[in-house]
Amino acid sequence: MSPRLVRIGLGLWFCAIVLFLLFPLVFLIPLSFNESEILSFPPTTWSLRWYRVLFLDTSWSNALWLSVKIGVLVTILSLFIGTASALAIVRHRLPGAGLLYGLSIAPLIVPSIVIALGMFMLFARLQWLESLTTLVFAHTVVAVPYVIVVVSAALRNLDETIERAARVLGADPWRTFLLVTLPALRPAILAGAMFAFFASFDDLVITLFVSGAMETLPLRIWNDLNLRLDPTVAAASCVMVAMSMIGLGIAEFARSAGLRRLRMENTDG
Amino acid sequence: MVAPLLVAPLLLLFAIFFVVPFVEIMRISFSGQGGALAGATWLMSSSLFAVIFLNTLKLALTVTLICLGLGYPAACFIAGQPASQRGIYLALVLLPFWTSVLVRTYTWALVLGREGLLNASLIWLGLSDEPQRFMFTPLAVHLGMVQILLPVAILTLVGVMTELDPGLARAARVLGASPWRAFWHVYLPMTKPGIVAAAMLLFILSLGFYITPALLGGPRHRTIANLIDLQVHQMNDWTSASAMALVLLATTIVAVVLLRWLVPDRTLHGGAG
Repeated sequence: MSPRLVRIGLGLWFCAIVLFLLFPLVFLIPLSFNESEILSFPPTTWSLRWYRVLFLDTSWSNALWLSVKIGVLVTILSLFIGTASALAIVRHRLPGAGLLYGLSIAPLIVPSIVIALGMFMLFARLQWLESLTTLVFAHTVVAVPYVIVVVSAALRNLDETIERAARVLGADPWRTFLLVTLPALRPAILAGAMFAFFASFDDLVITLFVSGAMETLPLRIWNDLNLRLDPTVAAASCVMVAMSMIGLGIAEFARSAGLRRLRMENTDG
Repeated sequence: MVAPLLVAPLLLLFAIFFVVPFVEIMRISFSGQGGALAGATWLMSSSLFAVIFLNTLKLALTVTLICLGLGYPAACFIAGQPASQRGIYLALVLLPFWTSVLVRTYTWALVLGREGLLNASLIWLGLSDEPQRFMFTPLAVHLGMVQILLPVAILTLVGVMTELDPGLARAARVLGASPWRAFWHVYLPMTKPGIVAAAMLLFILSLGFYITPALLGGPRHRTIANLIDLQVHQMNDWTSASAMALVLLATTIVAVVLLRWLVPDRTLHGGAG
């Protein structure tokens, strides 16, 4: 077997894997533009009928709106809590920082059904179920670890002497953070924001246990799936996929912009 | 003085929404109607739990192995590309990775259903006269879970492979080893920490799967997560649900401890301790 043959074989294998990974998502697009009630392939008549239902039917549009609202609130909360924690863990050499980092990523490792069950039983007793506040904080628990991971990685790569220079030149800690650290962290914070938003926007399991009768978009889809396969679900799924693509685009752009700047600063000396 | 203030919000959030709920699980599993051991007794006596727990472990194991088998060559391909072009290939893997698990599972229901794409094509090609049953089979659950976890496998493996020195495998070739021997004796052992890390990560993630088995497996292919949900929402039996949650958590912790023991920290965090 020549190395050339191996390379071609690996390339073909990779193509097959990508086809397998993307095929169901590509298949979804024509289905969502199908006029018919029955999800048949290929569509006979094209229409925006199911998108109209998604945006105009109140049960669907309310669910979409609720998901966006929760996602935005979770993102803001996670950015504040996560960035502050990352600073404490990386910059302030808190005793037990390693343990704290481990704790902060624990919600990503513990199965979400376990977190969901615990929250459900506790909040049932406290009568906290079916409230927007509870849902926002519950989602923040699984969203904030992403911000901590991304921001603390960026902080470790950031040269601390720049911050120290600002301090020596007379800036107080708060000004140093706002004018030196924060601008350097911007790409990481943007990427963390995207992660946090989609951790909330895509969550089903925790919502299923604590939201009561409040329906987010994934829960609306879930409730529909257990009854019948309505083509509105296909339209809603397409909207979710499109939003994820935009989020991925923003996060990747932020990451490469951050890398580019790092490289430029390095070549400058 | 600043540091405690900075972590206070996180600690408060985690205390109320992560730690106390967990304590509640402990409390309820050890204080049901049947006394302190009600949960444990239920676990021991329930044949349903035994079967489903074993099935969950088996499912997690097979999905992990399939993901590694499919993902390793794909990761080799990406790692073999010049660094400037790697991003494009990684994006193709990241794209599905960023898409909602619910949406990805739902699309499999559309492909595998009675009137789905697969049956339609089989009949159109003349390979089958009537719709076959693909939904609610182990095949459907495996397909769905592998599609969801494969990007995780590939991304983890690529992370390890790009940090390797490609010169070593080349040196083996120059010294006269066949490509196969160079791969088997040099490249594969070097990627072993990555393989172990990916395997444990995939196993941990597959243990807790809820959506995919529920939608594609149906009532006959439940996992522990589905059984927990069933006990709470249908049977209103919180004690057994809590006991199972503890078992699931304990299994996860064992896997995490094994992972930390088998793989040096460096491999997990990409160099930054």
